[in-house]
Amino acid sequence: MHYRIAVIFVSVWLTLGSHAADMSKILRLGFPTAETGFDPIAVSDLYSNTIIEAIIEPMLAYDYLARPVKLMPLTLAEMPQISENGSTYTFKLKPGILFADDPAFNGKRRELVAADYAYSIRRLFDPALRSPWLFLLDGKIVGMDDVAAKAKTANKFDYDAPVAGLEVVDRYTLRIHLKEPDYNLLYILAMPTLGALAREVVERYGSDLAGHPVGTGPYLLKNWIRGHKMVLDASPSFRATYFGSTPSNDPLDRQIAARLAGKKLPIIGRVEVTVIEEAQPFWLAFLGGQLDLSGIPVEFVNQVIPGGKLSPSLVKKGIRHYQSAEPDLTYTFFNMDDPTVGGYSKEKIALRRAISTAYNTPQEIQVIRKNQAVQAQSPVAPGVAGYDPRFRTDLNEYNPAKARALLDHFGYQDRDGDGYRELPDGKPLQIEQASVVGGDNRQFDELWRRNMEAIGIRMTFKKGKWPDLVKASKLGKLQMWGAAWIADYPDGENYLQLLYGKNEDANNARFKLAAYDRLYERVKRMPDSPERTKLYQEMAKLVLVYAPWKLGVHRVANSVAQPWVSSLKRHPIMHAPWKYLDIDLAKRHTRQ
Amino acid sequence: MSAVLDRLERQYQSGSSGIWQIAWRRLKGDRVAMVSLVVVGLFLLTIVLSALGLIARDWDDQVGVSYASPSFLGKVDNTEALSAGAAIPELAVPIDATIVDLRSVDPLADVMPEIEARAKALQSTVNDKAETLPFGGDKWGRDIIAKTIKGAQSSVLVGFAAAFIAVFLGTVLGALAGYHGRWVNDLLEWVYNVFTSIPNLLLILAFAAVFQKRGLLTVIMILGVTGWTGVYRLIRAEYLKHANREYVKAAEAIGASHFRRMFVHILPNVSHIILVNLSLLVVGFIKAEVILSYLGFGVPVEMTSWGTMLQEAQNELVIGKWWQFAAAAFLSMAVLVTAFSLLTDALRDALDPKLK
Amino acid sequence: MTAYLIRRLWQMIPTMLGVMLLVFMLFNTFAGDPAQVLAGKISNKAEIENIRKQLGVDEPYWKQMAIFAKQVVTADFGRSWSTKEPVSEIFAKRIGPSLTIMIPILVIEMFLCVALAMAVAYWRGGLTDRLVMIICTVAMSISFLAYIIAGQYFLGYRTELFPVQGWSDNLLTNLATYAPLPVLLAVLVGLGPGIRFYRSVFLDEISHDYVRTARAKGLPESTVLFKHVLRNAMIPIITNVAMSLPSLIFGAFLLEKFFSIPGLGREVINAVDKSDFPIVKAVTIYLAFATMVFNLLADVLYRVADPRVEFK
Repeated sequence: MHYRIAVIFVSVWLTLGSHAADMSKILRLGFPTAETGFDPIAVSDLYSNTIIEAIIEPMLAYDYLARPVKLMPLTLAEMPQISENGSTYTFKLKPGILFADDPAFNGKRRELVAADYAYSIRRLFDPALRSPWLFLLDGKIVGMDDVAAKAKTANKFDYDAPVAGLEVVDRYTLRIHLKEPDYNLLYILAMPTLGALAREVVERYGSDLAGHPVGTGPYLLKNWIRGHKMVLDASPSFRATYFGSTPSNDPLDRQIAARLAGKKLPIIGRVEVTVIEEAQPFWLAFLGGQLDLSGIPVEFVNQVIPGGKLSPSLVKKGIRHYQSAEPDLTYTFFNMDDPTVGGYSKEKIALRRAISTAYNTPQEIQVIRKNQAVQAQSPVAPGVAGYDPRFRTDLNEYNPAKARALLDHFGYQDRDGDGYRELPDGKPLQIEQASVVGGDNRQFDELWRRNMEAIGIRMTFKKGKWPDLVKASKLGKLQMWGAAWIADYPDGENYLQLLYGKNEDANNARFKLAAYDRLYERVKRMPDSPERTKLYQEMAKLVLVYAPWKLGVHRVANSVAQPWVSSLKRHPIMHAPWKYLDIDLAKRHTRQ
Repeated sequence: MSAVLDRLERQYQSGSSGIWQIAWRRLKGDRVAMVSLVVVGLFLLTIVLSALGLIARDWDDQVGVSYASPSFLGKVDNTEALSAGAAIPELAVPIDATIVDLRSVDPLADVMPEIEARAKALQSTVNDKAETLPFGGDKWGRDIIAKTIKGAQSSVLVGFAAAFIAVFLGTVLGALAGYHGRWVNDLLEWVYNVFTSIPNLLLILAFAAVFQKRGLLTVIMILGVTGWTGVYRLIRAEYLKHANREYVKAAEAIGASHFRRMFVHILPNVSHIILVNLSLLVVGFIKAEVILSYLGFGVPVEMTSWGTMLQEAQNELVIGKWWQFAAAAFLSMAVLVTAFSLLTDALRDALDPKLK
Repeated sequence: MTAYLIRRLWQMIPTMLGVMLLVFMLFNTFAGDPAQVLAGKISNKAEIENIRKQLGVDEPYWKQMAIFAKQVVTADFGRSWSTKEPVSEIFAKRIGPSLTIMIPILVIEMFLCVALAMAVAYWRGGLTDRLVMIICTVAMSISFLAYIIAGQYFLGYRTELFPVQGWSDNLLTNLATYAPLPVLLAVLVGLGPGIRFYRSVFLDEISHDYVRTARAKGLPESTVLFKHVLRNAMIPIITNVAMSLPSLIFGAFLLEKFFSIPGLGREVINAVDKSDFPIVKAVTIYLAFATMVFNLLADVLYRVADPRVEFK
């Protein structure tokens, strides 16, 4: 009798245990760049956001397995209802979701409510926080602009002022009213930036909030040595979560679904992240088994995956390789207001197109990027709505002969015999490209210089530190500079907005073409469709012929995993899928 | 009367040349010093030839494949030279994709046919890239030997030029402080203390961050302006000693100005210290250039230096391409710096009046 | 003695002021605009002005200088401009790892260099002397950077004798596991100049009269060296060690970068990079102060050890 009770007691105790996560399972990762902090509204770098993703939850998230990417409810009970032609969204939260324990809650368990999301969205507009993400919702929510404007003059944001567009209908229901339909709202609300924070926590920690991310997510921040190490432990308050994605026919999907069926998530009890800035120690740490998952530093790519396949010695160790196209674009922009390279006249267009076509992108891909990229054909990157692999032109190819022909035709000749071309009016032609100080950029400088020498253009480099160059760019003082953009949400509009004439903040080329702007204002109101994709391509054509940008590449992402890590599937937007992963401790021990 | 004093002046002036003759005799007898002198001489000759463009002129040309291996290693698998990786499904171009016609929106549409024709006429042939190079190639396929020679030119130029500036500053300031004394000395001592309280590297970084224009000149200026303190100390001590000597008083008596006394009379007597410190600084600055290049403050992109080569080579060991690392760190810089240091030591010993 | 100390401490003030002036001049002509760093990925001009106002970058120079002076006196440099962490906390947390590396390096280097230099001084003039000197010179002509890259690759990865990188919270673990390789590399690099320096110190001592006297008394060479010369040479040795500590802390940044050690050197390099004025100000002032204090200590030590040395 007692024995039976004991068994029942123990089994009940085991299933109702504080968390299902196994604390002996530790996932060890490395970041090649230091994180900056964990206030979702304030940080914009990838690595900080990766940590935030595991701790703080937005209303929606992406389905782990579905490709192309698909949204699913995260803290919601169901997908939101959309009405009023796409201007009103109603969100119903799941009851019983708890924040991780924190002194700010005075010992009580704190449930997630709709007001928390309304509060978190308001924080985006607080001028004191100067959020770099403001552009996501700026001017879109009914009534928010007034409150934000008042905050600027009063120098304080009134979090209690009512906003018509953020309607807390009841404890678990939030309704958002937009000024006009925005088909990307749900993607925006799936970003960790708009994860739920509790007001008590924010008010308690103030400017130290960056070190105290308290969320409803599967992990909490246990320990943080700034710029060096982060330790996350499974959160005891995390609700019982089971794997819910339906696998496709892909064998990897089925494998993962089978493995995770019926298991309470997260499985891994602890995640340790170390910052390792130099490539050699980073890679050696992975090879030595000190890291479980890692990207492949580009310098070593050809050793690790020669010809695109994992090297035999690594295959023997059981290491697995994952590769996927990222929604990523690199480009070099010309300052359209610059007297030398800017302008919409034929000679200026010809100059920019000549410079662009003389640059040996294939060699950049082969030597610098070790074939981990493909040439971009349009500003819209792969993996986002509106991308069409069929769209190809000959405008972006490497053709120095064409460059020379263009320059010859429009009068950029070498008249004084110094080996370099002058402007059509005879004045010297000085092209200066900005470049951040540091070893990695030097290789790009070398390639640019060599290619420009080959067509008779003298290119010099304005070296500086990142903040200084950004400042110069904002002031319109740069001629050319390289840049990159990773999609915030999976829609091509996120790239096209960078060339919109009225976009003051991010249009670093200062491109203002009426035809382009008209198209942009049209596509903003359209949902994803073949018609919209065609319009995206019309915009791409304008970008190609007027050449405010020289399109670069779409980078390919690689990661490698140790044999004892399972259930891993690379996601283009989710960077911290740790709650789905598992570690085979026995395998790891035999390795070491 | 003046003839006597003239002779005296000349005697005291030429007193220092006696040191040089003795030193040269001592040096000649030291075999290690002689070998070092020859090595340094060879390097300097190579550098002059390179600066004149007679050798290593095409160091920047991509003559080999990416990471071409050294010839003496024979046939080696070179995975870096592969021109394509595996295809990625999402990025695959569908077979039926065609080039999109842009003529309807292209402002240059009317002239494009003519330009295309012209381009065809301008097509040039592409040279074949070598599989191996004498001491291997870097990631762009540039010859390591040519790069090393060109790098020597930059690194040694930086070393010498910066050393000259530092020595010049240190000597002038040291002379002023030691000779004049009083408030000049106090002021210069204060400046010296301020400069030496700040760790050298921090000072260099701070200056490097301030000078906006990057380039060889900037690096040289930074090293020169932060490196004068050692010479200053020594020269000041010497000038303190010499300022009260008879020959200087004699020079004053015949009407030599302060400037003449400082730099025509006393200076030759401290020249041996200047030379030794110049050598030391050259060595120190060549090594400092490596660190500066690593941090990104090195020579501009039109040039290369040992520091830049090391910075490029730092990740090449792991992929088994050791030749740029070896050439930069060991075969060239170590040899020159060793030879230079040994020469400096021998010179210092040879010039030391105390040693018999 | 006390009068001497007080005078020296008093003399430190103009130097301190000079350092502050230099730092201030440098970083105000610094083009780095910290506001840009804070504004992150996307920023607009109005916001940036706001930030500059909040950070006090807009105040007139003399006002900024006065604030700076107050900070030095109270040793409170505010918060980092990029991470908002109080500067004093950053120092407190980062100095530990730096010292954990630096002190073993200093101690081991001192013992090794002195021992080897003494051996060389014993056999001076002969082939061994020459050979050792040449080896030292060769060792010194290879860049520290090269040592680290090669050392980490061969000793850390190839032979698996040491971990490739890392750091822990436990002092003993750090000393036993993570510190050895960086310490070894730094000591290797320091042997060359160290042996040369101490050798010249010993040779200098040996040329003094008391050595001739000792030999004339019939004492064996080893006693002369190990008992008399060493004792007298201890002063320059210890003062040299004492004075090199402040700059070593900063110079270790290469090691910290490659071995992922959360120390002060790496912190400062990043601060210079990000135009994080408070941290750079603080480091410069603290290190300048430390240098002056250690110099004073060295001089006092000299005086205490050798009464013949005069105080000026």
